[in-house]
Amino acid sequence: MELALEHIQYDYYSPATREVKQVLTDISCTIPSGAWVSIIGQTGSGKSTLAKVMQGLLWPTVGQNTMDGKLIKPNKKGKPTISPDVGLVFQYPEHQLFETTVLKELAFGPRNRGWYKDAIVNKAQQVIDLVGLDASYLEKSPLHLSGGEKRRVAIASVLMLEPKILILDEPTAGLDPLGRQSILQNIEEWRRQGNHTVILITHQMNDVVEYAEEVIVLHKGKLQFQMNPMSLFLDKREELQSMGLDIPDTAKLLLAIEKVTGQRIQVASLKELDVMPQVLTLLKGRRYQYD
Amino acid sequence: MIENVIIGQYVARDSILHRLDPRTKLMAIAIFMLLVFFLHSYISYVIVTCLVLGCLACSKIPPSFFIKGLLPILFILSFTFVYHLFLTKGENLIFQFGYLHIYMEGIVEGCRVLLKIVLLVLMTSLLTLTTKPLDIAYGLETIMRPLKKLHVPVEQFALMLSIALRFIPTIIQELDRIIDAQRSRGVQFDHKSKVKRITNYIPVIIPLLLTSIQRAENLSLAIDARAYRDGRDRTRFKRLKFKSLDYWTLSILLLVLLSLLFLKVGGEVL
Repeated sequence: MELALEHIQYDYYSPATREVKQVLTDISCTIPSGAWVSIIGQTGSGKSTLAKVMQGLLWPTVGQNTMDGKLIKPNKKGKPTISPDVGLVFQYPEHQLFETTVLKELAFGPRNRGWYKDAIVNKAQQVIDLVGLDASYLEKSPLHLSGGEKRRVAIASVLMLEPKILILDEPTAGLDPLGRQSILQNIEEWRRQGNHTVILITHQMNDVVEYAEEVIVLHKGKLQFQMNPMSLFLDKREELQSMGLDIPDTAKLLLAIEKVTGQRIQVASLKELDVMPQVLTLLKGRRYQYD
Repeated sequence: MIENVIIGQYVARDSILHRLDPRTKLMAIAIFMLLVFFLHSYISYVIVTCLVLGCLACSKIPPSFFIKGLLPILFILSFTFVYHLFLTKGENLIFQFGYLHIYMEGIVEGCRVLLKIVLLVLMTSLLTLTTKPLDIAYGLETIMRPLKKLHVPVEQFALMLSIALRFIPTIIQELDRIIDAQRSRGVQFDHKSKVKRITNYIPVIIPLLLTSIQRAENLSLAIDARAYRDGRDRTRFKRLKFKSLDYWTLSILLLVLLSLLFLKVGGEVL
């Protein structure tokens, strides 16, 4: 499912300072169907607001969303409608768990949408596998699980609703590196299985290059770049730095080598597995020269 | 939806009343309560009403805020008025129906009590509108400090108060976040059925309680980790200091109080 934003502007009225703040300014972008898109930007650049606008939780002040060419409209009362095809995993999603068992927790969303019980149980068994847990977890209390397991249950509770587009707002914040890798790997598998779209909001540039096909850079509520990660991180380093954004380790390595040798190594992508063999062969070649 | 909750209803403006020391304002409220208690003759009512209106004008706060503050007590006001209207006995009978007697004195008494309550409410809302909640807490702590000699845990009380005030916005933020999260999982908070609308808040309240308890536990650990002990001899970044403005305000108020007292006593003697 293709999601397109047209000239989105979102104003936020803050009652404390009694000022209207423009959080998003004229954002137009298209998220292709089945893609993995990462949104990066400094804290306060409007990433989370953009995610809420994409799901329909917030209604843009100006502009409109279309999905597969269909315009998303507010409901009869003029209130925003939440698109059932878009799932949103919030920051620290484990804070929203409240049920007594994982199964009930997973059933919460589908029950709100009026699913039958059998369908819910079937789906729960599928989804719990998808997030890397097993069926024995269904009867446990979500509040007694570890932090990483809670996070997985929370992600599963969003996947229960069979979204076509999944937006994750820093899903790996506060997790250990291995847990981070395995959660992202699970999401990648889910994406490949059903040609789903994944939108990942993250501060981890290494995760961006490992998974994303496209990167959207937000700065002060404006869309600065939408391009593939390789050309972004290798060619726009200064611009990213001026926005307070780092670049991934592999890009740093390649740029450092380019500075020393004066030549750019041609790589297929910035993924570690694509970059390291190339760098290693180059290093080996140089050692022979020094010997 | 939560955005229109204003904590402690403080309205930022630049006025004399905003600049006053919170202690001055607290003491002024206490004096004012006495003042209202001593209201007697018509002239005293006029003086105090003018005083209150003058203060309201000085605060530079739009009148709509005061009207909003009066709305919740509308019921109490009308009840008090009716109570005095029917139950005050006097000499000038105006209206009679069965057991109901309405005297001129009843109307006058009703109006007096009404005016007293309105003046008190306006003055106290002026305090909360012009003073930040934390400043009020600090002011209270300083005023109550002598009570420490009586082994009243003033500092602990003040710490509790300021922590509670400090975390209201945080908890509201959290609440907003959880509501959004559950909304995106299909909860309709504007459901047609009233029962459903109430039960829909269970998935909001339970996570909110959980995170609040967790936060409280972390906070108490953080307090311990910084070796905080009942706040003895603590210094403050922001210290309260009486300025000439504060002395003037208090002396004027005391003067008004004394003159009213004199009027009342003198009036009875004469």
